[in-house]
Amino acid sequence: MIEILDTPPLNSVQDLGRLGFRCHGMGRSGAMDRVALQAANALLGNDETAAGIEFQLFPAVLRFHAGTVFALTGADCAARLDGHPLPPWWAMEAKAGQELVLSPPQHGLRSYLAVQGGIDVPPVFGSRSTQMRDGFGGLAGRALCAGDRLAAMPAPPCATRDRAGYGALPASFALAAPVHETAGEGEIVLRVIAAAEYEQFDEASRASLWNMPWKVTSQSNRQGYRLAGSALQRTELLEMRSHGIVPGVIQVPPSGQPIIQLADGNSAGGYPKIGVVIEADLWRIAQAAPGNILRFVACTLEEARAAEREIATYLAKLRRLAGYCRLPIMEKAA
Amino acid sequence: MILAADDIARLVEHMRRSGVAEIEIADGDDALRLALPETGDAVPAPVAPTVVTATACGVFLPGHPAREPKAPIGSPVEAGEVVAVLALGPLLQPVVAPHAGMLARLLCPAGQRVDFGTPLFELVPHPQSPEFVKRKDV
Repeated sequence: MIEILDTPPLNSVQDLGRLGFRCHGMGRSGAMDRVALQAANALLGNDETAAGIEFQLFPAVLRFHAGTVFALTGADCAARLDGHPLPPWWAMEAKAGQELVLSPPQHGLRSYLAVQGGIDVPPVFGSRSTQMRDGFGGLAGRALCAGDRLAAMPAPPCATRDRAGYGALPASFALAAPVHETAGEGEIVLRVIAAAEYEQFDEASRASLWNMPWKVTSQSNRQGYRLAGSALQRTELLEMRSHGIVPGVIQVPPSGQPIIQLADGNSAGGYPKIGVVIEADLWRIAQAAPGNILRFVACTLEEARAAEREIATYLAKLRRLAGYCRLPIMEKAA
Repeated sequence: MILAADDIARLVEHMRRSGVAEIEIADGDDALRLALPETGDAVPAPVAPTVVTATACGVFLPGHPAREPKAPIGSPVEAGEVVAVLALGPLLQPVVAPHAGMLARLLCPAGQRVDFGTPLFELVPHPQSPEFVKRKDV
C-alpha cells in the first residue's frame, strides 16, 4: 500500500495503455515514456503490463505502508528514501513506514514508479491507465492527489541481494541515439516516416521538416506537443475528412506549426499528416521539455522495426539479469 | 649509522604524518632520539583510508552514468551511499560507501572491467564523523 502524502496535479496511474478501442474513439493513454515504465517493471520482474505511477510534476512525497521492492525510472528526480539518496533508474527495498521524496528533475520531464506486482486499480477496457480526458481508468479516472492510497497486486515476497539495491542503465545510454547531421548539442533527434499527405507539402516545407529545428512549446502535454518553427505549407489546400490517427503522428494545422499527437491524443483527426515519429522514439518526446529542440530524421520501415527490436532486447536482457539481484523470501513452515 | 640532515628531515615528516610523537633508533654505539614538541595539535592524526572493493563483476563506472561528476573524488558521501556502479550489460550493481567520509582516490580507471574484490576507491572518514573518532581511539 502506497499513500500519496503530497503531489502537484497531473500525476497518474499508467500502464502500457488501452489497445483495440480506437474504433470507438478511445485513444491509447498509458505511459508517455513506455520504455521507462517497462524498464521499471523489468527491474522488479513484474508483468510487462503492470501499472505504475507517472510523475510529470514535482515535488511529490509518498509513504510505503507495506514493505516492497520498488523501482524508479525515467527523468532523474534525485529521489530520497527516508533522506537516503537513490541513483536514477534504481530498484531497492522500502520498509513499511518509509517516505519517498521526488524532486523536480534537471533533465527530462517524466519519472515512473513501479512496485512489486504493480499498482492494483481495476482494469477498464483491458487497461489500468488513467484516461483523464474522459475520466475513467486508473484511480477513479483522475490524477492523484494527497491522501490517495494505492494497493499493490499480490506478488511473491522478495529481497534485494544487495541492500543498496540495483539499477538499469538508463535508456538514453543503452539505446543508440538517432543521428541528425546538423543537430546541435542537447537537441533531441527523432526518426520519422513520411505520412500520407507528405507529398502535398511544397518542396521548401518538406525540406524544413528534415532540416529545421522544431522547438517544443509550452502548449505540450500528454495529448500532444505543439512545435514552433518555420511554417509548413501545402501546395493547395484540400479539405480532409477526419480519419484514424495514432500516437506519433505529426499533424499540420492551417497555422503551419506542427502538432505531434501523443498518449492522450485524439483517436481521429482531419489535419493533414506530414510524418509520424516511430513508436521506438516516442519515449524521447516524453522526456522533452518546453524549450527543447526536436530534429526529425527520415527513417525506413526496416529501421523502425530494428529500433523496436533494440528496445525489446534491452528490456529482455535487463529483466533476465535483474532476476539475479532479487532473492525470494521463503515463508516459514508452520 | 650515517644519517644526513635530509634523512632526519624525512623521518620527522613521517612522524608528523603518522602521528608518532617520539622515536629512538640505535645502531651499535650510535643512537638517535627524535621527539616532536607537544603542540596540543590542531592537526588531527591521519587515519588510514578504507579501500572500497567491487562486490560484483562488471564495468566500473564511478558515480552514475546519468549524473555529474563522473568521478566524485573529494565529495562527501554518506554511509551506504552508492558511489559507483558496475555495469553488466544493461544491469547496474552498486558500489557502496561502507561508512561516511570523502572519496580520496580512484584505484581503478573508469570503464575498466573489474571482478569481485578489485580495489576501486580509497574512502577517508570525515574528521568529525563517529567512525573517525572510533578509529583514532584504537
